[in-house]
Amino acid sequence: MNPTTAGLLGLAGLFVLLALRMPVGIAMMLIGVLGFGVLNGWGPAMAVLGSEPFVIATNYELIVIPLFVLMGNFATVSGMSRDLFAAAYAWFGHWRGGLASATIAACAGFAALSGSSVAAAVTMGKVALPEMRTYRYDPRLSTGAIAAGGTLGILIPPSTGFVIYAILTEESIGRLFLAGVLPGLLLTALFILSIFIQTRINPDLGPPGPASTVMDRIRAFRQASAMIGVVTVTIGGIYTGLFTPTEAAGVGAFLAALLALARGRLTASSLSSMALESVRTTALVFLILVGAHIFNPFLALTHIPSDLAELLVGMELPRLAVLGILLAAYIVLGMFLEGFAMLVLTLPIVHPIILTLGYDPIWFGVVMVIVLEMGLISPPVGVNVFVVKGIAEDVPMSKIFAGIFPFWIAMAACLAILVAFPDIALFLPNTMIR
Amino acid sequence: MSDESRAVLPGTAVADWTTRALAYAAGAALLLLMLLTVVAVVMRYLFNAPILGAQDISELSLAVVVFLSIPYCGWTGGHVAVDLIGTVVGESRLRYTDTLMRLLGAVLFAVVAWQAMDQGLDALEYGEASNLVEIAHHPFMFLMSFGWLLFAVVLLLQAVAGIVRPPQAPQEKAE
Repeated sequence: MNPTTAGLLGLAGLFVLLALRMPVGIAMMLIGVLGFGVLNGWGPAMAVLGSEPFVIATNYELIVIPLFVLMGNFATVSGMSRDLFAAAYAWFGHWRGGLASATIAACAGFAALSGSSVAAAVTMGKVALPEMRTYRYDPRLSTGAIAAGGTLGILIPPSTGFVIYAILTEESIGRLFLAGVLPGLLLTALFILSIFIQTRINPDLGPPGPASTVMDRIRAFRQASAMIGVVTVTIGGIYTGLFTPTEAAGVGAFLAALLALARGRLTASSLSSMALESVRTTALVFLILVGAHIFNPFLALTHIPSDLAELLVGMELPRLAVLGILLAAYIVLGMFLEGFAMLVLTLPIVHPIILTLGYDPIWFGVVMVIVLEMGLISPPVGVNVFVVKGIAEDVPMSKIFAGIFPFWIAMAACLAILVAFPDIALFLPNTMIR
Repeated sequence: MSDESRAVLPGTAVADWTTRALAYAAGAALLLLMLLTVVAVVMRYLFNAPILGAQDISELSLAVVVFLSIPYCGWTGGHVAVDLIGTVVGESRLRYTDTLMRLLGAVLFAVVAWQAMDQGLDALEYGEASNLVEIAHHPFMFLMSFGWLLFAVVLLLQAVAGIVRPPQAPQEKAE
């Protein structure tokens, strides 16, 4: 069979299987091995099924995934989210909309311990929603802030999204993590700015809370400082070249475990349910990675990705226009596709295009992750929205989506700033010590 | 899996217990992996005495974590699927296609398990081992094969349960 025909049939088959709800990893493995068999013979295709999963599951770099997942789960168990919120509250609570801003800041702090947006939204939601309710916050603002703040989980390192991007594009995990730091802080600031503007226009959205004394602020900050210590060791360790990302993840998980232990939160039952949750997340990420590593070589054999890249370049569009089209397409796709699935399915085609256009792949990784974040809070299948809905059951979906919209605009602004000033993402990775 | 399906299918209780037990083993391996990483870092920086083969051991531990947890993740509906059709077509209409997808998956992973077993046998014959400290690869490949086989069984059980009883939507999970 002609490679292009095989590729098109394979893509069609993949979409059918996905539409019929076959898990993404399984569908990619199945189509990948069939396509490989047709193009390169069945013997090699079968051998790939046996060997490729072992290669991936024994890749030293990928140990970073379960270890950071573990760190996030230890952080959740330790109840650090409450301290983070208390500290942010002591500093911002008396502003107009201050509790919502505190939620965003605490989410950013939690994101530095956890690579999961869902975990960030769940943990902070449970802590912050009741508080905002007490102070009669409009549910639009409170739910919107939690759903949007939670998405910082995959932008501020550690981030599962970056690890997957790194593995699929053969970029450095450490550099991608560092590239997420400043854009993460920028997006945090933009979220807070958005709250400031919203409460300026409509003060009833979020009335100010009581002011804290200076002593209170210092005490609250000290409570949260353990977490700052963990973050400094992990991210600082990667930046200074002291640790590989895998080592940083191991040390970070261990420190988070010690914190949980010191707070008396680490019981036999919390440890065992946490371990189960951690390996479950690990399994779902690895099944997708295995699928991608069987499907993507097949797709490369069909030359479809390189042909598409050539075609686009041949059209001689300004590269900003191509980027704009890609981002717009991603934002639309993100409304319907789960984030991981979108990364894995589109990167083999989009990555060559980005390289041909001369964009920095590390920078594009950051841009991609922000677009994924937008998908997490877009209707109709924004995962974080459902998470928040699960915590605030009485708030109608339409209200949550309405509350999210200003934050969505903030994300779009963040994207525009990053396109205009790529150095915001690239400064740290370019100055890291190796 | 809900209690109802457990009552319907005799195999489910066994699958439930087995996948969970293996997931606990995977969790223990993960905690050990964390400790090993920390000890290796401490030995290298504080005592200037890197552990020989720490990387080899870590890599093979990762394989243990991954292959012992994939069946559990499958059993608890954790693998990421795209559920767009579920919002348009009713769940009960999708039970046959869901079952078909699970059967396809079961066949695929039975083949994958067989190929993994083949890899293990080859590794045994040629004495494949890790780089620095010689840890034989074949036990880990057999473990991988076992993990895939169990995953195939899980999919098969879910396929049958889906026909017996309308299926639940695959849980979406994003991290």
